[in-house]
Amino acid sequence: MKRSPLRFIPALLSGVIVLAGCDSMHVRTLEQSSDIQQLTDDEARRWYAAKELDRIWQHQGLIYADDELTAYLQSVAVKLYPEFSETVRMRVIDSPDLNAFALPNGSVYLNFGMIARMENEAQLATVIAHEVSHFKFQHSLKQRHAMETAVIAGWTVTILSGIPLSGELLALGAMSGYSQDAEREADREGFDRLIRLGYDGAESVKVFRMLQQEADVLDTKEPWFYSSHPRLSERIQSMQSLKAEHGNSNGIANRERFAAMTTGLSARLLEKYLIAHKYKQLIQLLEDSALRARYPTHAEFYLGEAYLQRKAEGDEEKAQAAYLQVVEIAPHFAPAYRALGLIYMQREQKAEALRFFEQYLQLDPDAEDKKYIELYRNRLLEES
Amino acid sequence: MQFGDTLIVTRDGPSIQKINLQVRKHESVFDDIKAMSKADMLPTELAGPYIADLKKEDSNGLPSLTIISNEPVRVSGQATFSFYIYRPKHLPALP
Repeated sequence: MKRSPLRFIPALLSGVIVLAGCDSMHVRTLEQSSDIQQLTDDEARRWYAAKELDRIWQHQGLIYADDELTAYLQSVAVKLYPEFSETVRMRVIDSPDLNAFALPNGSVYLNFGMIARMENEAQLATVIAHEVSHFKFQHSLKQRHAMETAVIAGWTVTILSGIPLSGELLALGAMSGYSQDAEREADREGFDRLIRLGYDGAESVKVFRMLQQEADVLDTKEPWFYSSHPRLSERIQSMQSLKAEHGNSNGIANRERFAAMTTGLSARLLEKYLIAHKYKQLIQLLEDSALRARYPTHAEFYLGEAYLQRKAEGDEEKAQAAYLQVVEIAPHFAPAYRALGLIYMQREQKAEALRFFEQYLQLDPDAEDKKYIELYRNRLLEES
Repeated sequence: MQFGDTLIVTRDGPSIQKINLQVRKHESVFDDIKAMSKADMLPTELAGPYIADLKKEDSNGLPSLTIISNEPVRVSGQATFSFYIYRPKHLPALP
């Protein structure tokens, strides 16, 4: 059964209603974890709602459960903001989309796709520092912001970010709710923290460039990563200025530690992109030889699949070449044999199809689609 | 009973048991993955895109469905496919 994006309307509207129901009030900047002991009514209401979101997402299985990775993110957050060590809690959402946000109770969420696309800890720290800054300044509370734009922004987030329950996120001001001034404040504060810890400021600029590239690949006029934020090009310029003023040229990046703690995310990202038919991202990543080097040796298989999903002229031939390359460099990776068997079967090249199907079944005797491939193999055997 | 392009066949009532019959056009059968079917495809060949279409719907942040079984079968002598899936129940949104 088809489900329409319209299914999010009730959640979105409930978010808008909550927003409308809040009174304006004084908002303080949090200086330490103990500041949360004396919450105002409005702060307490949002704190409770954020806590409920934490619980619901956990219960729904949206959280990517990797204790080691989560502990690593937590350690980076605590290093950046030791004063919030008892309040800020890092979590990873099991989504390939590039996204991150903070809730008013100090829960900071990063999509695993965002982490998987990063190269080092300095880039990770850039995003964490930015999000914790939003919590520190309580931007979600400060933004009583334009109700008239809330619905439009909410739609953008709902459709493009892939984050469910965006109505609630909208209500909490965690997404699409920050003004340009709030974003700049978070950028400055986050960058300052990074530099104080000795991270390489140039890596911050790279994070925003990565987001810009994604927007270009998807032909997104307004980047979906915080759709009401300042334009990415403006933020890249701003980060470059910050780096020029305060950045250290030989800062730390912690590539090795980051690589060790994020092992397996790259392969998972390719698989998730494939399932979600995000072939544009797959092609962007894997046609670039420098980027492809960061992925497993059988990554070319995903490039082949992406070509078949795109279906442009010549894509089948490109896919075939990619699969043959995988058979060459990763001969134990079974799916490439199945893919070649299917291509040859469609072209009525039965002997080749049979050979690849046999190899596939030998390499992966418990394959999920074993019975289908056996059916094709038996039919080819009968016909030959 | 007919609802839109779906015909529901039931003996004891739709909440007890039902068969949904849908006729879809080749060009729009798998909208979510922007794939089409073709008249000369084997019925079993439709299983892959059919499941990919379902999975894509769930891949945008929602918990993925689980394929419990998926295999080619014959129905009234015709080759086709049969699968069982499990989709986690989503909790309602916050009030």
